[in-house]
Amino acid sequence: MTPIPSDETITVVAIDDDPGDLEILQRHFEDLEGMRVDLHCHSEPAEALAEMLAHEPDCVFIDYLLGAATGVDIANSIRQNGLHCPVIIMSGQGSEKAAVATLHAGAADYMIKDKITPQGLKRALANALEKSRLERSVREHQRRQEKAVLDLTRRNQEVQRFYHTLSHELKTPLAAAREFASILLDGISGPLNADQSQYLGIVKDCCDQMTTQINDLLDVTRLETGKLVVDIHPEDLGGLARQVVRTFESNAAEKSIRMRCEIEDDLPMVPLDRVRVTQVVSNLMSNAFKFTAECGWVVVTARISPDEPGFVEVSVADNGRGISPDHQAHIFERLYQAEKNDFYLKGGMGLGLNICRDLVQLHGGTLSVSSEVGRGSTFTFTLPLERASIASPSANQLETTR
Amino acid sequence: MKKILLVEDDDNILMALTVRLRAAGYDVSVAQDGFSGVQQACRIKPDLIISDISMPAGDGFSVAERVNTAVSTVGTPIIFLTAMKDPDLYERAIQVGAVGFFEKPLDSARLLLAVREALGESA
Repeated sequence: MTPIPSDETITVVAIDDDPGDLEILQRHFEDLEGMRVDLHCHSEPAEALAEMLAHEPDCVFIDYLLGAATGVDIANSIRQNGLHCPVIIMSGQGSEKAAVATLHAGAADYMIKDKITPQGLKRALANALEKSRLERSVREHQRRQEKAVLDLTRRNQEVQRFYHTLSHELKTPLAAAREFASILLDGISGPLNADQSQYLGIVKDCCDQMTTQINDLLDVTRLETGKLVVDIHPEDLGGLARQVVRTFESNAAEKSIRMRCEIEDDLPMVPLDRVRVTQVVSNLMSNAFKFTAECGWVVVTARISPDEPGFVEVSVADNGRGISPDHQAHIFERLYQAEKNDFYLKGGMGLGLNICRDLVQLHGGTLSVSSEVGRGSTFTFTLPLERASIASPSANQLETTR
Repeated sequence: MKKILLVEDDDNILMALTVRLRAAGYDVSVAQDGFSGVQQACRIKPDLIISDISMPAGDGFSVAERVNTAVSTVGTPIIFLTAMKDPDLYERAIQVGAVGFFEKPLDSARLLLAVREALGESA
């Protein structure tokens, strides 16, 4: 226990309707060794409260029986008036009922008048002051925490708004650049030679890459703040996979990569967000293309999960350069790629796989990788066949804000 | 020649789309904010409106609402463009009766298809 510094005067208010009892208490306080007490005696609770509201004392002693009211009532009204000073209840007769009521009301102590000694009083007072000091620091701590949470929430909203504005401001000129490139490519302003077409095609591709990256950035902030919600309906997963594969046909032709789509027959309808699952498959496909050399292969498979009952799985496999075990452990982490700044990982902000993982988790599934350096990689994600197993939004938020 | 009113506050996108739509054989008029968009619509009575959503002086939704309450322009089909990524915008576009909704950057081939369809020219 922290000893009360002797050079500090402790202000105490005592409320008792018996003047004799007050006098005894006053005498006890005068005898306290090493403690200077400035005692204010009151017989009227209302009067005492008025004084306490003007100057909050360090401690209050209240008689348990005060005319119509009890000491507990007074203690409650002290609290209701926003005062936090510790309250010690004194009782003429020791009654268990009174003691229990007292402690329930949050009093610091309960003393029986006949048994009060200067030593006992000093100990009770020191205890009450220490307890009150601790409570005050807890309250202060709580207040600071609440403020920190509030500040963070506000900051988060600011960041979110900033990203939205940023994305709008970036996409508008990008849209114009892309449109002019495509006007030229389409020959609207005259015929182009082969080189000109090729170069403008690159301009257009670069605009598309920037768009993807801006959208990824937005998705990450929305996942982080729990604002990304999946819109789930029963869908034809096989059809979705085939459709994504078709969009990669020109990439496949360009790099002479063989592409195959293996969809299991009789695949049931799967509850999913069409836009988001398309995004996941596209992202895995574009990674596969990025890391697979000319004349390699990319295979997309969709089937009932052989390992996990009640789930379907989609995998995108390639025979590209593969991912080393060190990297495998981290590739789903946000910004891992950007942090490493590794030639091996080749471009991008490192958001794509992180977004894929979170999107799959929002559906209640998992995304995993198996890979061998020099032999290729297989990314597999699962989706539950029943909506019931979909993770609750709060669980997701915990997961994504780690 | 079918008349299209293009309402877009960004000069470059406005120019690019004008070039694109004129090349596709349409009579294109332009406005750069919601208010002049509505004025222009009442004056020229276009067959189709293509409008950006976030603009000064009246957004795309207000253009749709005003055009649909004016007797001379009621029922004009409208296609929205936006650089914002917000699912709520799509919902609102549907509510005000849009026949198309495109995120920027635009896929001009798809946009032209939607234009033809809205004008009842689908091949």
